[in-house]
Amino acid sequence: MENKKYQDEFEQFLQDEVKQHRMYPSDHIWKNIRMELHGYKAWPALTFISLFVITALTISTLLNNHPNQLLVRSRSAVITKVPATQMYTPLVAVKTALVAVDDYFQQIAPEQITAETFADLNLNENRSSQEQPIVTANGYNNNRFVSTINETPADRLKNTEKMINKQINKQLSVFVPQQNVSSENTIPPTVLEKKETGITETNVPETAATINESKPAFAIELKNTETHSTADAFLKDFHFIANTTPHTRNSKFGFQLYVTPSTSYRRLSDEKVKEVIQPAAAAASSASQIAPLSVNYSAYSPDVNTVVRHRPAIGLELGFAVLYNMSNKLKFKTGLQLNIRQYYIETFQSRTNDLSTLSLINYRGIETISFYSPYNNNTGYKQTQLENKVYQVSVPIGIQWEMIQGKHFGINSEASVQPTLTLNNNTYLLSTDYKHYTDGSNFIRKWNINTSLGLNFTYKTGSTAWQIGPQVRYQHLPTFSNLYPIKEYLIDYGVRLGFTRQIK
Amino acid sequence: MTEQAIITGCLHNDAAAQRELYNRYSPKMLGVCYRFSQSREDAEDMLQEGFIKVFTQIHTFQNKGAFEGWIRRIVVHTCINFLKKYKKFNESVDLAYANYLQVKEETVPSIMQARQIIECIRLLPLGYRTVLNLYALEGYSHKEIGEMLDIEESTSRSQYTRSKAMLEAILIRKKIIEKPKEEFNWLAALKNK
Repeated sequence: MENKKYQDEFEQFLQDEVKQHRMYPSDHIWKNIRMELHGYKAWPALTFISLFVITALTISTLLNNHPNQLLVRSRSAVITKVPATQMYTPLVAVKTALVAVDDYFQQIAPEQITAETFADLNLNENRSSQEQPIVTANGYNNNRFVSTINETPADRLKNTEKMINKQINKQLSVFVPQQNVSSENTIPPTVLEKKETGITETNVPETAATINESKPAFAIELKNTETHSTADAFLKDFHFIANTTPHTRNSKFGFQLYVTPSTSYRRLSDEKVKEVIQPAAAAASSASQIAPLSVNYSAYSPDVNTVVRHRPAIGLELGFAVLYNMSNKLKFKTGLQLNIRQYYIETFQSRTNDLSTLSLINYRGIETISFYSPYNNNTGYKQTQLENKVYQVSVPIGIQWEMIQGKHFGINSEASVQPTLTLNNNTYLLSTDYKHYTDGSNFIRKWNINTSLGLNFTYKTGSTAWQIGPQVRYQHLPTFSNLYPIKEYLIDYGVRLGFTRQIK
Repeated sequence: MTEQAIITGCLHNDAAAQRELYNRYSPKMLGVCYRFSQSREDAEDMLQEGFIKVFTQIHTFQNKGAFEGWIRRIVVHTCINFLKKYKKFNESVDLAYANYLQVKEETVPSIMQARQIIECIRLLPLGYRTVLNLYALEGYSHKEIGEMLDIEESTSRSQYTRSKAMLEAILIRKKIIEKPKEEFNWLAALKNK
């Protein structure tokens, strides 16, 4: 490059006048550059919401369709709907299924033994050896159950209990009302079967033969009726199945869906500014006698909470929780929650981009970043407002305490700790000279901790409950990273509306 | 943040350092782009393209010379490339053209002298303006300008001479500079008598 500076007066004049001229670019230029360099910052909330909804639906479906619950429901339905004339119809199917499930004898579980089992066991032992082996008498003879003959009555009873329970679970129409059994127990079931289903021996020879040579398929019931002298005892035995499966009792788990419209307030703390940054700036200023423009702190600066103009806005919490009953009154609660928190900052738009400063505290000391901002906290040609809106996902872990519990109405309180992930970062922060606002995306804290307290008024019908009540949520760590000396703590006040369902 | 810290941060693709660099140099560089461009929108496009080059090519900066000078050169080259896409620089405009330039009062804002001068520069035809910017304000030689704009060195010289005269005329008419008083030539006066 040719060094021709100040070749003549005119060129020197142009150099002096023009070369230091500055112009301030629009905001979108930097956004475009950043996007070009770092790619488009996709807002992941849609993904999270989708994931959240899918998870909630999956879990609620799984919990709501517990196999035991299905069993109880379908069993009761069958008992009430199947006509008496068809009671023996599926007997062949029962037998076929029994043949196919020989593994069950290797899978006898203690939980299948009930009080009635032991009652029968004692009874049977008292009757000693004169009783026929139940299983063989039942006709499922041959290779499969022969070994049971040599077992003790207790073992045999256990095996039979197990087998019949399994079969009843599988073939529900085996249930026979008391009156049917009592009226027909003298008729061989084979006859009934043949008569009512039209199945002939040639059609199902093995089945028919098996049944013919044995007691009826309801041997367990009939056997017991022989030993009981009273109707009550008979009924008790007849309801044996229902007693062996106490599934009607509610599970300890429940799930809850809730939504909480809330308003966000904030508390600002500027201790670091007053204790560290302002004294350092004052010292530097007195040492050099020339205070930098950007660090022009006055001797007295007001509390930051009085400087900012905050306007709360409506936010939202949307959550799904699983509850576990630790006791009648205490429930453990956890789940997934989406938070939308927002508030407005009232400020002024200036015609030019003003130079301002951001002093950051790090382990090396104080670092000062200068920036140009069109948002002036004090003056400007028109009033404007900045929106600070964050999307968060949190995992509330807490307890719920039933304070008052009536038949339908009740009051409970709840508290939770919520590890929180902030999803977006388009927020504004106040400069450390309190004069301007600038983009705070580089300083936002990704992980945070919140706590929540709430009081709920509940209305309960059956296994479902509706609730409404006030809630407070507090953010424990500042919104921005530790570099930024003005600490912001968010407080949300809201009303929680919830729906809880106890899983049966 | 020191200049070295900014460079190091930018080398590590740190968004905060990049933002700091942009905040520090973009106002001055937009002024450069504006002098070359037809409009503010064009100037901002040039600036954006220039800074993207700065950030992506920062590893080529070898700490020889001023960092600002390095950025400035990238931005200037970006401006030239931008203009090259649309215009030709070897246009020749008669000096008399300056007399027909309609310099309305509102065309040149009277906010400050520097801005006035820049607006006057922007009134020049594109070829003149570009050569004047490069030679008088950016310090490039006519040879370098010829290579940059794909024109002859002599063309660059003549363009500059004409542009300088035209700008002087505009500035005088705008009363930003005064017309230099001609020295009284006694010899010529005597001869005339």
